[in-house]
Amino acid sequence: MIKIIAYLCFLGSFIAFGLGTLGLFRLPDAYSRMHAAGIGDTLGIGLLGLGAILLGPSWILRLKILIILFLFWIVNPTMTHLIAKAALIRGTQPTEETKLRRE
Amino acid sequence: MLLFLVGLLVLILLVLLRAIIGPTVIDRLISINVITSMGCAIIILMAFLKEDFGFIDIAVVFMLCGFASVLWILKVLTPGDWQLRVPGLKGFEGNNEEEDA
Repeated sequence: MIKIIAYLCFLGSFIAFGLGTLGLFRLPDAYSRMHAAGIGDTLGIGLLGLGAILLGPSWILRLKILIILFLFWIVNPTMTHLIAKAALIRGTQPTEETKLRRE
Repeated sequence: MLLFLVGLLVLILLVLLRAIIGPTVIDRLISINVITSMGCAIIILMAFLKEDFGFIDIAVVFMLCGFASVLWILKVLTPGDWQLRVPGLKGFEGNNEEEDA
């Protein structure tokens, strides 16, 4: 029973990674691609860690996987934020349809 | 579980295609980021496939190395003391304008 739930979690993580990759190819400019990649990564690693915690043999291993998840959920949004800031500083242009509000 | 591992490898090849055709430098950087997290996922799956749980520690170190590498690439790309200026190479000429196309 636990094995079936863990495999469903792995399948969900694979679907999340696949949706992130699809977003990398379908979306028009760098900023929206950043959004798709961030969502796919965070959800994929989260579901994979949940399945690994369910399958894990000992408590110290589950603690290690929880530490990985915690670090990942801090580091990945930070990295997306830094890349977006660097893109803004370098002057990367969004698509033509983007409406910018300037006061 | 082997099926998920092979599927993740195929996804890594697709993201690498995005890194090759990506029009700006920022697209390639996002692709590096995604490849690092998929590699971390592959290492965790490999630990359960081989039943050798030392791989979990390797996943932590791999993720932190990816973070440090993206930080230093960003430091080279943005204006400051460490900015890379190559005259004649598009996007690295020292002004802050990103190239068209």
